[in-house]
Amino acid sequence: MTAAAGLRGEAVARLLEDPRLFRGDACAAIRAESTGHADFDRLLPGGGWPAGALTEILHAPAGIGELSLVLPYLARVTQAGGRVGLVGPPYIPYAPALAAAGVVLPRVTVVRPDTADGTLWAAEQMLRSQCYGTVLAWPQRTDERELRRLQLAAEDGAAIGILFRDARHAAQASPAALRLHLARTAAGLDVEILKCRGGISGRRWCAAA
Amino acid sequence: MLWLCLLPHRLALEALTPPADAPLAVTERRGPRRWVVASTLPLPAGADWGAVQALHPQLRAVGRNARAERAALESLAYLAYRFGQPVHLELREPARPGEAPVHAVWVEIAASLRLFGGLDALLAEARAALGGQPLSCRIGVAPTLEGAALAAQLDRPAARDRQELWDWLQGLPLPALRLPAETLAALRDSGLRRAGELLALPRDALARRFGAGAIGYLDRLTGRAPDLRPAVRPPPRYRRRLDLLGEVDSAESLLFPARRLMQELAQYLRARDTGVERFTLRMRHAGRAPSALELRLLAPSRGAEHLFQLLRERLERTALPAAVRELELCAEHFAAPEAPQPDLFGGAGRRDAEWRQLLEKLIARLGADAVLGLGLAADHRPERACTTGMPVAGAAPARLPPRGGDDGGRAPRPPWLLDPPRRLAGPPAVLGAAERIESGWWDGAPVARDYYTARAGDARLWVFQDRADGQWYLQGIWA
Repeated sequence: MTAAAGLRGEAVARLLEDPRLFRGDACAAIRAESTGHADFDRLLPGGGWPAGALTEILHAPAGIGELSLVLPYLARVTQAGGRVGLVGPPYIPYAPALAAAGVVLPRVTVVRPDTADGTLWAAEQMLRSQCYGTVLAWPQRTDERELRRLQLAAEDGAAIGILFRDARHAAQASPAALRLHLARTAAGLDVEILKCRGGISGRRWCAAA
Repeated sequence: MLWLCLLPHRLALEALTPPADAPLAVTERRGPRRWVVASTLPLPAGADWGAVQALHPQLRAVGRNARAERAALESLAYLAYRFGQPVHLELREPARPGEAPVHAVWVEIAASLRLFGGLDALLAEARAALGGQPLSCRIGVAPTLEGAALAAQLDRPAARDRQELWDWLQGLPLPALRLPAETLAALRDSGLRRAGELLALPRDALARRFGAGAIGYLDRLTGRAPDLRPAVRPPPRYRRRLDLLGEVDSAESLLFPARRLMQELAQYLRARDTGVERFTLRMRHAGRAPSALELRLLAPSRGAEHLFQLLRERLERTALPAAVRELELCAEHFAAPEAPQPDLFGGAGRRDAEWRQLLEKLIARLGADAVLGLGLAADHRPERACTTGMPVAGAAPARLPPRGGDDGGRAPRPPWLLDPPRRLAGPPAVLGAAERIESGWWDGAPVARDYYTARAGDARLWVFQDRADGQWYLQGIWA
């Protein structure tokens, strides 16, 4: 009798740890890295960017503040010796600005392929390699199959993959663990959680400008 | 002295790439005579081409390519370097119609026997090394060059000293000796059958009868006279031309010759005890200018497989402008590869090597310009304050960015830069005060600009007005 109850207890505990189980507001154990914005971390399951998964940041024009959202994390992870890859950025990542934000430049690799296929290929290679803990990518073209490949590569390499995409893709189905929509308001940068695996979507956080 | 002789007995055929898929004969021509030197079919040596063609109408013939033979033989000589020094090679052209060219490489191994743990271990190592390259070789060991060549040709066990060689020569049939055919015929007519009988004859009588050449050969064979030849040395620059059998029109079909080139390059690098930093593969086409692929490595390497994987990654991405007739590999930049260091604190060295291999893969496919590391430069002009170059290796410690003396108070910079700046049609809606930058009058690229932050929709832009002409430009984006 007691043994059976113990077994049942164990099974329930295992179930409760499963990130797929929706449990209201309690966050299941998800491995994540702090974004560096404490208020924002509290909204995310695991408390930050999910590891071994894709994050999508959907925003309308370049220059809305999409990089400032990730810079504190990039600074912390490069100072700890982690490598960061920037694949297919739309403009030149400006070294003085990154350095001023605390990013250790020798740990950053910029890859600028000529083609959309090259961007996807390079991002997949880097995510899978286990050499890059974090890969930021700006794919020019993505369908769901390609997103799934990137998601699998991030799982294999236990890497944090962050994709920057245009806001019009918000309605597209995506295997990403976390999807954010950015918009600029009078108060600052408004971040809406469109989807988050193991957490509650629809919540908003506003970064002061 | 103890010589190991490598006798590539099918070199005339195996020097050709890619290997023939149909029956093929290599022929030599002198005047009206054309005879078979080597063939994929078992044909008698020196068979007349006309007769062979009548018997085997499907057989294709190509002329001998002495240049390809020499290049392949040199690569074999570089391979021999790993067993000792000096190394010699010989390419003897056929002296008369019906003969085949003779190719041989020798390496002195007496000094390296202890290193390899005895002759048997060395020979086993040599057979393993020969198995990994395209030339099929016979090997022989003797204290003289000519003796070793004979031992290889007749597939005899090793003769370790001159006495053993002498004893072995006694029973050798005369025609095996590398003497001119007319000398051999005269000796046979005199009733001599064995080399021992010839060696027992008085030397001065032999010299009078057959000339100094024959007696010189016998003396070099038995070790009575020294055998002086120039040693092969790996040249400071590596060049290897590879004629292709016919034209190759797909990059995939180039993989086979590419593998061979990388194998031979690795043999050369090992002979020089160095690694290659970058190399160029030039492809010659029929009726148009040659095209070239340049490959750069992050760290010097000499692994044949590693080099081939890089080249393959690149070849598979390359569209050939036309069919390829000839490949030429050039390498001039060498450096000793880093020895793998044992690592005390969990494989950081191994991870670094994996990282380098990943970058090389990216570079091979996307081009060297597409993979960049970031750096800072002390310059007030925004477009010159950052540098891009090859990513740097090494486990950089946790380090804060360098702050120059006057850097601390510098105004903030946007994370996106546009280079060159984009000209704006009219003045934008600027916010705040200007930052004036005037610099560069000393090096021919002077700037005099007022920088502002401007708002355009939801985005904030970094713009400047050129004070020389009053034009507005967009140079950065606050993201």
